Amino acid sequence: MQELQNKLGKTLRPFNALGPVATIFGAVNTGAWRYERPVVDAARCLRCGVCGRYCPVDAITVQKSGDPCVDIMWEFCKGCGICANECPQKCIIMEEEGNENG
Amino acid sequence: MYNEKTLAKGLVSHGVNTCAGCGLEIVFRNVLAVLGEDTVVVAPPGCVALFSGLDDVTNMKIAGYQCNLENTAASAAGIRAGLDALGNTHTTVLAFAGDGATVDIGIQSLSGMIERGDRVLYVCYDNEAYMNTGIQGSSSTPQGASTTTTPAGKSTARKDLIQIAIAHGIPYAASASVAYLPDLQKKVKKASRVQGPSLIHVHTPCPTGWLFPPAKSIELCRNAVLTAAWVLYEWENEKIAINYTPERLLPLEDYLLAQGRFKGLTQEEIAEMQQMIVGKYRRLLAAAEM
Amino acid sequence: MAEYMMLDGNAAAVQGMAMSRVKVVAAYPITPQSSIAERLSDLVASGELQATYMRVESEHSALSATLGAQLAGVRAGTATSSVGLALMHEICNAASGMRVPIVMPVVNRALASPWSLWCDHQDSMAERDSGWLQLYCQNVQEIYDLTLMAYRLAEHERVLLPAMVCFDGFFLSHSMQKVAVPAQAEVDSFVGPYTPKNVWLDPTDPVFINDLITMEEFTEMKYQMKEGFASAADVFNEVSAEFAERFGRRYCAAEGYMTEDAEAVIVSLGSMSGTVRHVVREMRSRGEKVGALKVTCFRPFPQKEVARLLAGVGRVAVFDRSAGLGAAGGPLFLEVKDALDGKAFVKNYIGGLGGRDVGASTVERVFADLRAAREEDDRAPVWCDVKEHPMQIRQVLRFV
Repeated sequence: MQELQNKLGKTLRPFNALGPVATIFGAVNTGAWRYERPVVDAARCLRCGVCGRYCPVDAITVQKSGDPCVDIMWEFCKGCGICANECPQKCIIMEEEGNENG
Repeated sequence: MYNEKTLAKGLVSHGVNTCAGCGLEIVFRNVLAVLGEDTVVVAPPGCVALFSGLDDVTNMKIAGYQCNLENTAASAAGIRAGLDALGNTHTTVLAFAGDGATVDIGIQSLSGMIERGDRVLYVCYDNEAYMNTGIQGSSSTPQGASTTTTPAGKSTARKDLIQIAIAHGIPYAASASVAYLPDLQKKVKKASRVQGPSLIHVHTPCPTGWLFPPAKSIELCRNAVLTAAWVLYEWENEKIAINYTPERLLPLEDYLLAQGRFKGLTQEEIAEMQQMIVGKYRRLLAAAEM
Repeated sequence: MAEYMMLDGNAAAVQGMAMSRVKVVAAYPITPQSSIAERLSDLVASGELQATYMRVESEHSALSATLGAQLAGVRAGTATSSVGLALMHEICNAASGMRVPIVMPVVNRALASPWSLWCDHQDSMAERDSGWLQLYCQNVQEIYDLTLMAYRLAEHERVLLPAMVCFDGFFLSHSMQKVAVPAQAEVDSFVGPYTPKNVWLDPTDPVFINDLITMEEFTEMKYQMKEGFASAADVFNEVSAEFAERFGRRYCAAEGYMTEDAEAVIVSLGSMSGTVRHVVREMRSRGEKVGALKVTCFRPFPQKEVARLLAGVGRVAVFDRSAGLGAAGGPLFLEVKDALDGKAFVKNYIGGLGGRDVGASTVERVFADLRAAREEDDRAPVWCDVKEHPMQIRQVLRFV
C-alpha cells in the first residue's frame, strides 16, 4: 500500500512519536531454538506442498521444479516436526540438530 | 510506515516468539494471507500479542492495535466507525482474539458488537484455555481437560460460541480448524464480504497447554474433526450447513488420549464425553437438515 | 455573532461536542448524564450532527469504541458519570497512555457505595491520576466554553492528552441557564478540523499501536506524558487568551475573587464556587475581608497561580466535595496545601457529598470556623453539616 502514498506524492520523513508504538518490522532468530531439523528425501519427494502448507513459521518453500524440491529457512525453522508428520510420502525425517547428513 | 528489518514472504515475519508447533501461528498467517494488507487488526493481550510486538519491534506488516483483554469487539467496532466516517469502507477491520478474551471477559463486548450489526470480522482462535498466562481454564476449555485452574479436569461443559452468535442473529458464523486450511481460507474470504458482523471460531492446537508433541498439531486437530469433538460448520442465510461429515466417526479416545491434559479421565468419563459430543453433532446434523 | 440559547448543563455539553463536529459518538445512559446520550442521538437522527451513533452496551465499551474511532483518525466522543466513569477507568489509562486527545464530559455524581444519584466529585477524583486533563465548570456557560477549549487543549501537539470536562450532576446538568453560543463558523474557526498528530491507524502508512513495552522504554513514555502536562499549563493560558479575544470570556486555570486583600479565602471546585462568591459579596458588604478561589483546571494543577492568588492570605479553607478517605485530606486540599508550602494556615472542609447541598449558610459556617481556628488545633479535615449521632442513623431489628 506504500504505492498509494507514492502516488499521492508523499515521501517518508522521520517523526518523534509519543507513547507505545512499534515501528520496526522484525523477526526473532527462532532457528536457534531447534533441537532437531527436518531432512527431506528429495528422491521420494512429490513436491505436493503439504509440508509448506502446514509449517507454522512459513519457513518452507516447495518448488514445482528445480532444486531443492523443499527449501527451508534455517534462520527460523523451530524444528517442530509438523512437516515430517504431515508429509504424505513420509519422506521427511527429523534429525538431531548438528548431526544431520550433509 | 514500518522500518523493515527482516524479509518475509507474506505480511507476518518468520521469527515469532510462539511455541514450536503453535496452531495460532498457522491461523494468523492464513487469515492475513486471505485479507491482505488493506487490513487493520485489533488484538488483545494473549498469545496473539506475541505478533503485536515488544518495544519497537512487531511481527506484522499491517496497521494494528493492541486493545484491552475484554474490549476487542468494541475497539474494532469503533475503528470501523472511524474509518467509515473518513469515507474508507474498503479496509477490513479484523478482530483477532483468543477464547478467554472472547467467551469469558469479552463476551459482553462481542454481544454488543453483533447486536449493533457492526461490520467487523471477528476471528476467535480457540486454544481452549488462557495459554499465554500459563494454561488457566477458560469457559471454552472442554469438559475433562486439565488446566492449572481445573487440575482434576474441568467439570463443566464449554460455552458454544457459534450458537451464542447465532442467537444474536449474526449474518455469518463458521467454525474452522488448522487441519483444514483451504476451508479456513474460504470462510475468511466469505466473512470479509459480509456487510455486518461475522465470526470465525478456529480450533487452534497448543502443544504446550494440551501436552502433546508439537509435530502432532495438525494430526490432532484433524482427529478432533474426525471424532466430532470439533465440527466444521457454517451459519449463513439463517441456515446451518455442515461442511464436513466424516464417513464414520473415530472413537473419541483417539483424540483425547493423544493429549496429556486428558490423561486423568476414566473410561466411564470418556464414554460420557463421547455420548455428549456425538449427541451434539447429531443435533447439528438435524438442524442442518431442517 | 453569538446568539443566546436556554440550555441545561447536559445540553450545553452536547452543544459543544456537536459544534466541534464529532464524527463518532458512543454513548451509554447513566443518571444524570442520560439526556446527553439522548440529545446526541436526536441530533444524529435529525442530521443536525453528521456522525455515527454507536449505542454501546456499557461505558467500558463506550470509551473503547470512542478510542478506536479516534485512533482511526476522527474526533470521537462519549460522556458519563459516577460508576460509568469508574467502569471506564481501565480505558481512561489506555487512552492517555496512547496520547489520544478524547474530550469527554463527566457529570459529577457520587460513586457507590452507598448508591447515590446525586452530586459529588468522587467519580472524577478517582481518575485524577489517569493521565487525563481535568477541567471543572462553575456554571452552564462554562460547560459550553470549556468544552470548546478542551478540544484545542487536548489536541495541541505539545499536549496530546485526553480531557474531562467535569460539571456537577443535577446542580448544573439539569439547571437551565442562558448560554451565549457563537455561530458555527466561529466555532469551526476556533476548534478547527481534527488532524491526528501522533500515531493512528492507516493501512497505507502502518504502525502497530500499543504493543508491550519493557522497562527499557516505559519510564520514557510516562516522562513524555509528564511533559504533556507541563505544556498543558501554558497551552491552557494560550488557548484561553485566544478564546477571550474571539468570544469575550476569559478563563483562568485558577481564578481569584476578591482575594487581593482577603484575610480568609475558600478554595473550591465546580458549582459551589458560585455560592462562595455570593457569600463573599455579602460578607464584604459587612466589612469582612474574605475572598474566593475557584480552580478551573485541576489537572494539571495550577500550583503557581494558586500560590500567587493566595499570596498574603493568612487563612485558607479548602472545600473538597469528595471524602479523601484515609488521607491527610481531600484531593483539592492536598494540592493547595502543597502549593502554599506553609505560607498560610490551611484547613480542609469536606462536604456536599452524595448530593448534599452546599448552601450559603454552610459557606458562612466554614468562614466562621476558619476564623476561629487556632494553629495548634487538630489538623484533621472538618466534615461539614454532619447530622447529630452519625454513627447511629440506622437502627435495625434483628433476631438474636
